[in-house]
Amino acid sequence: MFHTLTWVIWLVAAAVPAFTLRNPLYQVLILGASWIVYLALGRTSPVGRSWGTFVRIGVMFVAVAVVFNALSSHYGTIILFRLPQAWPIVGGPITLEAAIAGAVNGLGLLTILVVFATFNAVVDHYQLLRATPAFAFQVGTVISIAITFVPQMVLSATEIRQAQRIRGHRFRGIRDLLPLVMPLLATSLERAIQLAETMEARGFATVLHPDSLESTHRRALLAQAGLLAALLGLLAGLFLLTFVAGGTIWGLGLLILSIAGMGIVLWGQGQQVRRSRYRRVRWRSHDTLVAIACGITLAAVIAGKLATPQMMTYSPYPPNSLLPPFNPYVGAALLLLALPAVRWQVSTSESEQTTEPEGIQP
Amino acid sequence: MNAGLNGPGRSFLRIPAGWARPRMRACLVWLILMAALLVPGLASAGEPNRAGLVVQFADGHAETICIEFEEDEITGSDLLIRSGLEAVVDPSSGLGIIVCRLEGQGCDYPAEACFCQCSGSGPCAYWNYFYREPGQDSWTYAALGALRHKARPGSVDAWVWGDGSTLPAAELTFEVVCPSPTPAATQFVTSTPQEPVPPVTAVTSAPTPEPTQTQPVEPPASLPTPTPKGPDISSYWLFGGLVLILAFAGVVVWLRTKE
Repeated sequence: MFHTLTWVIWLVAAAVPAFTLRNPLYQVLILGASWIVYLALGRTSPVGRSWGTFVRIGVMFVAVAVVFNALSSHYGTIILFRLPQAWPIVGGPITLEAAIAGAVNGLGLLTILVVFATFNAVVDHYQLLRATPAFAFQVGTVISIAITFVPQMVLSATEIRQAQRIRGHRFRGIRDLLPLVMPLLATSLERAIQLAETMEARGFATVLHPDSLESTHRRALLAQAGLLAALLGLLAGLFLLTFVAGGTIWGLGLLILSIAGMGIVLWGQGQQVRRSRYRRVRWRSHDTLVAIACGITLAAVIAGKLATPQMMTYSPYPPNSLLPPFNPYVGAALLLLALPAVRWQVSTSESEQTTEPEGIQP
Repeated sequence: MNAGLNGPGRSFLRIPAGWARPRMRACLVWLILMAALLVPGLASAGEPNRAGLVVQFADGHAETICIEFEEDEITGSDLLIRSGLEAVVDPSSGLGIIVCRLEGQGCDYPAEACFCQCSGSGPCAYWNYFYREPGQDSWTYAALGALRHKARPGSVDAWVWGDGSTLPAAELTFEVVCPSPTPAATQFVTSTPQEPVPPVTAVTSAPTPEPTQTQPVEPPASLPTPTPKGPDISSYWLFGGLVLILAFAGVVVWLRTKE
């Protein structure tokens, strides 16, 4: 499989245009590329089954957005029909432009959903958690426990239900759920206590240098104070930049200073944690290829935004044309998002003959 | 009801009543709906109504247009559309429209923000919306958007590029904007400080219901849609090609992973 970092790069390259290009033609291309990546790589994973649900939710968004926008935005020249003016919000002309604008808004949401659903389906969640930065290791541990907890709970719920049904219990209404919920709660609590004992036995959240308890506490307090100061600086900088006339330079300076301070604090916190890798995933040539392709996509999107901004967006309302503009270079660059699928197909057809070894080295 | 009523008579009375009640209610609802639909339509008769429109640019010069309409009242956005001015608006908020650009002045909306000159700190400039009801002495800053504000016969709407403190010229009353009772579209330009624009006035046209806008440089028949906004159709062939490539790749991948 691909490296986790490769998938993060792919997500950035797909999500940035999905969020910034409000133009149905590019959105269709992003959707198509994500669909191919899902088809090639995401269908085997257990999370991949939720991809269809995401698409269904997105299509519902489109339908709701069309109706809502057509009823509320009465601007445009191509009038489909008229509702009486006396009706509170929906009264007035219902225009084709408003319906199209609603569809484009919904399509934007659908695109964002599909991009994230595809990332969800193709990425290895455990590898992703291992890639959390060092300063956030506690959060990473908690999330990884939560992720393993949910399937375990589902499993034990099934077991308890089967056991109760063997005893002759029938689950028909909400009241019948009590014999399911109580044992489930008990098992979950038991498991949580066991986990806490295990983690304490392995030294989670203990003092790393036991000889200097005092200094460790002081260091933690200092880090928290530094983080708070940096966040307050960030807030003040944004405030200066937005609301105070002539405060642009001061605001920018404060922003840069706060971000730098936050980086130093987080880096210092990360230094406290020593990590070792047990099974390291190798970065291989196809990872480089996909990362370069994603970089090209991102560069093309940014260049298109800077050079031809009016070709990147779309508004169906007059005096604009109903047809969206299209920049073929950006469109072709968006097609590169499908590269992981194609590359993987090629490599699997090669490995059918040579039986390539696992991509994980001990 | 009579308590002594019983037997077959009772059931005879009861069945149709029970059957008719929802029907009657539905009929009533439909009647009310129809009335709501018809009442605005019935009232429009007689000679066309007129309302004025003033557009004041950053340099202080203003264009005025007199617009005729058949209805009792039309919205401010309808007034803007029927004026034939080139207006770029942002209706995406769902609560009304924001005018981003009028006759080339303002923000290039889909490409940049609608309030592009109001971002961050510093001075702010946008298209302010004012109105003047019939007989009103001064201009009022509109509390409602152009989609909700109703322009009645004899009222004047004004769009001013500024920060909200600049009011339209006080002398632009309805009588000035729509001077003659002849149903003709008029336009003239008033100039304020150091603006040597000669007042071009009152070029009349045939009494069409549509107000034709007269401008010294442009033929009035041409639609105000700007040509650069229309996309290049040839680029759609490339888009079609890209979609075909995607579809082909998708089918190939699908067939291969199905096994």
